[in-house]
Amino acid sequence: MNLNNILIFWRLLFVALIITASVFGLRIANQLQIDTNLADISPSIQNTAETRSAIKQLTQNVEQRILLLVSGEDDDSVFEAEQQLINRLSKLSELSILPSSEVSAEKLIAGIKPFRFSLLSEDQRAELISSDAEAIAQQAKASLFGLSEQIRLYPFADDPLGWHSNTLLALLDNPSAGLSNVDAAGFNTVVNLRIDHGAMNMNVQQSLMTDLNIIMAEVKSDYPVTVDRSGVFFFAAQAAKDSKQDISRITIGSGIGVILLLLFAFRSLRALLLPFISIALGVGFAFVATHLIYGSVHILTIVFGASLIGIVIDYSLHYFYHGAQGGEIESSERQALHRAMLLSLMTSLIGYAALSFSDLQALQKVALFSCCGLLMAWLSVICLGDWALRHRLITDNKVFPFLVSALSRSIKLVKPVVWAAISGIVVVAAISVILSSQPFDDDPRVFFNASEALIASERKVAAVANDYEPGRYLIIHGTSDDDVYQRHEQLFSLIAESGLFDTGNFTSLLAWIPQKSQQNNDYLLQEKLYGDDGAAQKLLSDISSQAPFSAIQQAYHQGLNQRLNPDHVARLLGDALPPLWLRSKHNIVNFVLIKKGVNADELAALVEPLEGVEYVNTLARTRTALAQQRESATNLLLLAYALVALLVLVRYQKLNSLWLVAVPICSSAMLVLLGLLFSFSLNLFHVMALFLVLGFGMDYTIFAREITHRQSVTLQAILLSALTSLLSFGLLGVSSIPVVASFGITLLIGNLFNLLGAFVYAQTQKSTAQAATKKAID
Amino acid sequence: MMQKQKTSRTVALCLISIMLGMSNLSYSLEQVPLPLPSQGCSFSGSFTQSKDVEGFVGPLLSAGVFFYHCEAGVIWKTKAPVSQTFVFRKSGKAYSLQQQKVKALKSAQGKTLGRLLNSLIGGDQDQISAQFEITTRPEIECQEGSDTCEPSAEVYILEPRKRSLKRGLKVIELDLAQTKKAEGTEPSMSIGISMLDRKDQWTRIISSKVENVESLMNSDLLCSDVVTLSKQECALLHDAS
Repeated sequence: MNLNNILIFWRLLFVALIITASVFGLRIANQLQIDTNLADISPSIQNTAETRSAIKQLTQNVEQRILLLVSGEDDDSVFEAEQQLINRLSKLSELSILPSSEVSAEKLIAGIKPFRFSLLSEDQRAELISSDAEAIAQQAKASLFGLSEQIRLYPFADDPLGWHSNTLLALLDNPSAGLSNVDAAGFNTVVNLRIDHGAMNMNVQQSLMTDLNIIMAEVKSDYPVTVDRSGVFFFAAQAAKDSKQDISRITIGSGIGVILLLLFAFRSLRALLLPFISIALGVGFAFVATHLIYGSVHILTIVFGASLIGIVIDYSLHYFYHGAQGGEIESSERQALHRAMLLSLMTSLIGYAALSFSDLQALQKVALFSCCGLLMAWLSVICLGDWALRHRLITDNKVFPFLVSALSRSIKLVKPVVWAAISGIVVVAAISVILSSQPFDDDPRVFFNASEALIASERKVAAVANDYEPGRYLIIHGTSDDDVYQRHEQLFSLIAESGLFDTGNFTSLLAWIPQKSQQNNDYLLQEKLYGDDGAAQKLLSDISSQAPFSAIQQAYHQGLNQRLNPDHVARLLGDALPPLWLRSKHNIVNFVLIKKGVNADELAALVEPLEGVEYVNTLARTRTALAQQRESATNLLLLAYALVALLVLVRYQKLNSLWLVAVPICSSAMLVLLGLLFSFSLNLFHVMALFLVLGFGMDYTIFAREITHRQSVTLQAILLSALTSLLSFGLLGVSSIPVVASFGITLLIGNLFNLLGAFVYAQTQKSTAQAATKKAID
Repeated sequence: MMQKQKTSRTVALCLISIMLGMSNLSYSLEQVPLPLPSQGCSFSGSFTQSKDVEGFVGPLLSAGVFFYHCEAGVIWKTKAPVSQTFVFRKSGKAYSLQQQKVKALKSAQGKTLGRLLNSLIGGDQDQISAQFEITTRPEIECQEGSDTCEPSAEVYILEPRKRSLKRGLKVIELDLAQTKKAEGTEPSMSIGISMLDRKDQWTRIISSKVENVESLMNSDLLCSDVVTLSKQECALLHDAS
């Protein structure tokens, strides 16, 4: 197939992809979804499908929850501020105001009424066994007539002895039930909210955050109160805001820098056209493809996508440099250029595609985004390159040639063999550092930098409200209710016996819903209350009540088969608590939440021996998973190098062509050594960025190798490419998101040494060729 | 030495039992002061109580005695139609005594009740003011056989400040009419207290026959002087157990 036929093929592909992307782009235009969920960038947890589903439900519920704490020195002000807050918030369509704990308790009291005859507190069981009906009746009478601390939850006719009120109060008073709020100094009230949709969607976050900030500011201005906030939403919104700022900074900064560089290099606005068309098409195509496949695009994908600007521009620059001199590229030079571009594309695609092997969905999206963007940018340069060169471009003939010349001369001062030795030493030193000091840090907190104010607000709310750790909890699995109950009992006994924790810091539905067998027993025990000549009958007779005993006795008999189960209570509680009890076909999952601020470090070891009980610490799990991912990514990187080396060997059929691959290897090694020098540890994202270092390094060296006809021009193009990349990734390096900064720093260091390596390769190749020629002449 | 004196405090606070989740109160606002006569450290008296209970036809009537010591706490004893005693120590511990059986009150409500009862019976004006908004309502009294009616008494309305308190208790009406000193006579020893809870149930208490004693005397000794209280009840007030 000749060059023209190949070009026709590329052009057809280009047009087909543009049309397809435009059609789909128009279709998704009105439903663009940009995600900010940090869970996407955390590795998935290894559990059964049912447990994962339960965890997902819990996580989504927690993500949707917001707590606003209104505090003040005056109760009326706090009350009025809360009313204004609720009033204003109720008008926001994205939010639902959840019932207060009092409302939930009332609902629970009413809902549990039919089951009251099968529930007893521990003290009541003991009392029913030890006391006779007469004593119980006398006690009830005393409570009725005398001073009593008793709160009557049910009317006299439904609970003449006040017995069931006491049962429920004991249950509600149980801290493990999680329904009571902590009493704190001053006046506080907590408004519970749920974000109905799009809690992790950037558009929703932006709009909701703006509304919330306005409403909270108004309330604070109208009343002498403070309003604090708590919820995963706020952290996600902050991360999204930071990311957005990063995108703007990186895009504007790199855009301006690249424009100035191109104008300087080519002295014409026309030179901007092809690079920016290729960038726009590349990024646009990548966005549509990613959105089409995943249904949304993650904010980090866009941040990384913005970095594409430094890569896709390379193809245009080479095209311009080699076409600039004559306006029309010679056929042989065009062939060499296309060959180099194709090889460069293939190595970059191999490098980027390896990212898709990651378990992190965000990086899989980056892989797709990058590969699609690269392919489209490459096609646009191939197809539109000649059109862009219709008019002759004049390249800078002073600064870039001077820089290339100066750098080349400096490199020539060192013999090729010394460069080879330096390369070897750098690689060996890096391997030694890795093996000896393991310079890695897999702390998941690299994902985001939460502001101190947000953390302080979160802590303040946690201190007042019964709020739970969103990332740490216990899971009890089982195939039947009895299974779960048994394990639950074992767990709480173990926690109590350990003396390490207060059981009140753990919230579980089962803490106050007795097992069915226990409820059967409790029902039977209450025969002493409602049986013939029981306490109720004695009391009603004693006080000559008009309430008939037969009515309450009939209600007791009707309760014979009424047993309270966690499913019923979960339904009654509704949104008051996260979904703590989930039943699927073959599995039951019961969550035990841990109160915020509880140091549960020793919990994992404590529950280890218990079958069916699992302590989930998302932070620790993510750390472990990140370490595994880093190791796996390192292996994938080695695989990518092997594949690229194979490609190079196949293409050039010479062993010394492996020096092409040595350039990105040395650049990567330099990252390790500079990390040691500047005391920064490496994480998964440094390793991921090394894939791009491989792509860049191969890009530069392939052009240096392929286009030797006018090497100075090739090196100028490489220099300009490297400078644009360094500008883009240098800006990534100053990102406020640690993970993005890791990516940027790696590419900054890696590409700097890639540039040096490409020049060294070009010069040593030239020296070797000259020496070979001289030898042949001699 | 015991000395009779008028006070009007006591009682009333029974229905605070229905308060949910009462917490420490740590501030005070400007108040209408309650005209409570000063008193000694220890005093005793009797009361009658009328209580409405949802679903029960007619008021539940009871009567009893109480004893207060500023360092030890309160004994509240219902004598009829049931015999039941509550002991609320200043230290925060609380007990009930019925049919010779002592039971420690562990519930939050029980402890709250004891705390409030102590501070209110003890006449801690700051605490009362901190917990309640106090307003007055003149009572119009018409003399028998006379055409004229004139304000002769005052009812003090105590509205809970804190919402957690409001959820359980709507209002306390304190009728201090009988504490007013008539010309040249000692004030009466009776006071009416009416409390309306969140279920619109009224509890009305009339306390009477208040005795005041020297503050420096031992609470055990003073308690044992109250003939209606047993040794066991007095022991509970100060026993270290």
